[in-house]
Amino acid sequence: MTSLAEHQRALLDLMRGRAPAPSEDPYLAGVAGSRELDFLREVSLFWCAVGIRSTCTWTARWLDRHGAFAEAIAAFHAGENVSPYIETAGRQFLERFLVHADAPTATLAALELALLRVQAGEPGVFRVDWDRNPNAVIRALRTGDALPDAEPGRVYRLEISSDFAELMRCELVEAR
Amino acid sequence: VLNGRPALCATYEGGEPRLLERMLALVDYIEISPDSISCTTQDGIRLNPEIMAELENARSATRFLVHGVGLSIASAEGRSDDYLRLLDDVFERLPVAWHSEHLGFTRVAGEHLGTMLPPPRTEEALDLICGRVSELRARYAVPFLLEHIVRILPDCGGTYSDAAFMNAIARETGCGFVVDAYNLVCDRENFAFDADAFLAELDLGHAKELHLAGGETYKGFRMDAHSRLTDEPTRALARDILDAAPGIGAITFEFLKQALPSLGDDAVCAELTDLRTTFLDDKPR
Repeated sequence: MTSLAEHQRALLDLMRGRAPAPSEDPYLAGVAGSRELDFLREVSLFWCAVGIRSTCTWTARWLDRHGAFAEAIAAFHAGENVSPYIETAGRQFLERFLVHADAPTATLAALELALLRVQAGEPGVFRVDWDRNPNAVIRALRTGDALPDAEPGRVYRLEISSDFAELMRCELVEAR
Repeated sequence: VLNGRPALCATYEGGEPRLLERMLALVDYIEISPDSISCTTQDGIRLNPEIMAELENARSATRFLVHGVGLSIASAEGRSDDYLRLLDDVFERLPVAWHSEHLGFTRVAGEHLGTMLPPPRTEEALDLICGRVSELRARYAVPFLLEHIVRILPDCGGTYSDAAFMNAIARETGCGFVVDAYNLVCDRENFAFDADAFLAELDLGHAKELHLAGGETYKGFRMDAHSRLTDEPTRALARDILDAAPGIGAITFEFLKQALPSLGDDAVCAELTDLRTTFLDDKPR
């Protein structure tokens, strides 16, 4: 029989789809390709999605509204060693979107990441520039109303810091 | 056991102060999971100060049962130091009646599974788990319990049956058991697991806590999601367990915080009231 470490490593590899089951182990050979293994992957993905939805509420809702959450969470789950601690997992998830090609997605992720950092006690001021009214975006995500469009020529500068009485402040800083 | 009957307990994950206030009038203990009441800080994973303030405010009205997820007691590579640090802090700050963990592993070679799997029931796994249980029993001056977990993969077997493996751990270390009626219902539905035979073989003299929960069926699998109220098959099995295990000191209703928007606070409180009258033959506190 394989050692405990070998058994666990082989199950991990099967779960991640990295390697075939060792042919000398009938149990692992049976698990490979089983419907239970598929289900195990789904369960792991399900709990990952539950954690991310609760930590990255607005980014998750934004992705939902664009039909992109399922794909995003699957890619995240497959591509990262996701922390079991949901705030750390949330940071991992949001960091992937900071360079997203869709600017509003990246902006929203930057906002939520800044909030997590401030809540974690990081000092300083985090600045996030928006091409549309961030209040209107959050309101739309909360209510299900239509998302606001970009406002050409306007930049809403949102600053987040634990030094601010209300945590965030926003101003219209310039016309492009 | 309070006044000759088991105590009633319910899960609390923080951030729902009105629900906590209502629950405190209905339960004897609050179950907390250090993993769920933690937050990420610049110094690493720590207990969430806002949730801890809620719990410390409640300490005059209740005691706490600590139920962990993240220790990964059966990982070959070693158990989680982050989890132990959280546990140390919980014990320092709250009155804990006892604590427990799942008999499984969540981490392999530094990678997190995102779920939990049971170890093979071998001598090697037994030795490793017994060593860690003994370490926990020496570290904290309250009883430590282990809970059998649901299966997702087919049984990986070993030299012990499920019950004999737990009996051996208890015999070797002096730990107790959490018997989870809902886990057994899941295994019975998903794998035709013989829950009656398991309970007949398990040394229920070690059983100190009974868990109840509910969840959905997805793609033919009963999910251990703690997202619903208890159903009749779970309650029927719970009655059998209580009849056979007179040393059970607490019945814990477990529900996921994320399920609260669909469950509703009223339904959770009604469930606790009903569990108290059904299982404890008692009126709400």
